[in-house]
Amino acid sequence: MNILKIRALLGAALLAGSSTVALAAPPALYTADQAKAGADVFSQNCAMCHGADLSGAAGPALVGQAFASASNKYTIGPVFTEVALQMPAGQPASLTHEQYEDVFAYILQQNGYPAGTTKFDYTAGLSSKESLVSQKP
Amino acid sequence: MQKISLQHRLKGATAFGCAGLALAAFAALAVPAKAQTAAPEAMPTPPAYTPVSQSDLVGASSSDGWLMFNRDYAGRDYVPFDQINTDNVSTLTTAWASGKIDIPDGFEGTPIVSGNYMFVTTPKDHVIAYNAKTGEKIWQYDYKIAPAAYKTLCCDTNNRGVAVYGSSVIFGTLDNHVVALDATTGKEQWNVSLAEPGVGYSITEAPLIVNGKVIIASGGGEYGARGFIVGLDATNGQQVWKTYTIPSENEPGGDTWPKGMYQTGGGAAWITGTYDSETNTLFWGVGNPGPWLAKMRPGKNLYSDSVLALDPDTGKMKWYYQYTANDSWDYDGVNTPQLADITYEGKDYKAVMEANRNGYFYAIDRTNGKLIYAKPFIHDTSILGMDKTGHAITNDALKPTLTKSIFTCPSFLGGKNWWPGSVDPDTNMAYVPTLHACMTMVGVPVTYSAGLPFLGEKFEMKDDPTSPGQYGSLQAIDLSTGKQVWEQKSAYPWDAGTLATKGGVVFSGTVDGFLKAFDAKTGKVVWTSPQLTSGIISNPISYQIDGKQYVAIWTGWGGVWPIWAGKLAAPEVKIPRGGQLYVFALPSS
Ligand code: HEC
Repeated sequence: MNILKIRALLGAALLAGSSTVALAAPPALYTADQAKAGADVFSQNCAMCHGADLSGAAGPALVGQAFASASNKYTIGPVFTEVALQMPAGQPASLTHEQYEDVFAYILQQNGYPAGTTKFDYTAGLSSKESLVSQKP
Repeated sequence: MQKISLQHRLKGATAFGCAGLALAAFAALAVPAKAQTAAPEAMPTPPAYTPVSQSDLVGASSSDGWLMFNRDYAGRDYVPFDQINTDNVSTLTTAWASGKIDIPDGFEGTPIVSGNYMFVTTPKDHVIAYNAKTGEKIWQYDYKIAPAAYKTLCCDTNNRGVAVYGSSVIFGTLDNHVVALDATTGKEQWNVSLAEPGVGYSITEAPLIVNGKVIIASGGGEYGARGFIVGLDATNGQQVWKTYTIPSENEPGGDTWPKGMYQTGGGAAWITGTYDSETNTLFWGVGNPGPWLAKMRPGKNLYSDSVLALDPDTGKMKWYYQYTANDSWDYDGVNTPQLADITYEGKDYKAVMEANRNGYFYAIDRTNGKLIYAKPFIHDTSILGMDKTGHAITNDALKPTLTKSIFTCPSFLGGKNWWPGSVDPDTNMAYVPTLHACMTMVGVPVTYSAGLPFLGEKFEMKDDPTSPGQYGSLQAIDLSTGKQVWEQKSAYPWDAGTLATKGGVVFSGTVDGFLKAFDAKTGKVVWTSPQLTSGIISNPISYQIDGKQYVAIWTGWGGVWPIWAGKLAAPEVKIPRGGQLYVFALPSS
């Protein structure tokens, strides 16, 4: 496959990606303060396995289509449950509920979800049926 | 669309370009001038290659090379070479070493040597051919992994090695392809896909070739992926048979699962099996059932945590033996089923030996799947002994529920994990890389969601109260009694395979980066290498070329321990990452 052709394909894929964004703007599920605090929680407890930019290392990517594409059909509940009850791998549930709320807010933000006025809540998060589709390529 | 993560994932591959630089830095160690100056562009004419036949594979135990994952079909990790022996092993020096390969993940590959060629794999599915005598790189193949594959890797980006057959070098990939390369050029001959990436499956094991078929299976037991083993036509990759490790409702064994749960039942057969050419029988281990929480799947959950005896031509099952029924502790049955002819209590048996994750050392009659003996080789509270039918009695009081947290030994990584031990016909001993740790575990709610872990348990590794702070040992077990003969203890987990030799020396690597040689009879350390560039979690091999015996090993810390051992892995955080292949030999006189 020649370079031009690859570029064309990538371009098409990016366009397809952005049209998804335009069609289904995701809801606001957390506050900006939570995401800000969550960035610290992430860099101290998660980055060593998931990469400082969330793009994956020993643990999977937590951003983009390689994390949550439409075809994964993820909802928030199971993914947040994985974070709150299994992560950090090897020391599960070792952070506070607030830290889990914050770090999840950060993950949502990094995946293109907007901040709002309602906080992301630990208990509600565990069973949330809200769909989780990354808005990032 | 996946450009960003693709680039990230290829960082390791780009780093290969710097191999020459790394080599220069490495010049402090004894590397022959040839290897240092080897320029990747100026390829020398590749050495001649003799195609590998089925009879070569049957005779692999007496070959000068190392023709398959465990060296021979019996899976013994033993060489009949004695040039290096207890008298002279202390003089071993580096014959050659690869450049340092800057991938920060675990190097778990076993090199394969056929003639003058050595074929190795690195994490992220790169394959390299070296001249096994000089260390010159002959070719390199960089497989492009579909980014989705990284979603479902529980335990690092491992590739444990290739298989050789005809003029092909064959390996599996993290995104479930099986690829054949030309042995002398590295050019792709065929490439087939066994399953979609990102839903649970991933291949990390080396294939085994039997009767012209590539036998291989995938991982995925942590994601509810229903395990399978396939036989592919080695000439074109076409599937000849596929056997699921978890039966569907109407198949034999299907009634050991609650209705429908077989579909997410796990049972990944993720470590290379063995083969008995006399009876044309393949032996392949099966991993944990899914989800981990046993209370969600009442029943024995066949054939999870079992060893299967299969016909390699059809995939049909001859017998099975289940080590741990209705497992709630992640005690996969995938450790190498090693063939040995043993005498136990005055009777002769054709046996398969397995140091199981559940902490028992098993001898099973390989003609019929009946237990000969099973003895604990670590402090074990999960298994209470064997019942009258010859099966483990599980300690059901120590199975977690959603409301009951338990403490039991061994941990979810087992008394021994995947790294192959050896079976030594000279000493009649098995050498077993052993883990000593326990765990807490409690059930947590889980619903199946393809691509997410499917565990239903929260678990954390803890010290074994009978040996706190001592997470590993290498032990020798008498095949005729199942009893320990010697043990070398270590504060670190014993995370590497063993190599036994006719020279009376057993080799194994340590987490802090030393290759060590032990007296096979007594366990005494008879040689320790200089500290290598990283920790060792791979399997040492040995081969001979032009009358000279070599011992080779990958360094490259990573793998399952630093991801899942939690606080117990704190001492290893400082271990440098990156892989390097070392080859040792006696100094030329
Ligand atoms: C020691 C390494 C490690 C650390 C630290 C760690 N993770 Fe993970 N994480 C993993 C691994 C490995 C997986 C794959 C899960 C499995 O196999 O059970 C994973 C899975 C996940 C998943 C599921 C993703 C998917 O697509 O399946 C999420 C979300 C996640 N981690 C978030 C976090 C967060 C948030 C933190 C910090 C609070 C964290 N992780 C810390 C290793 C780690």
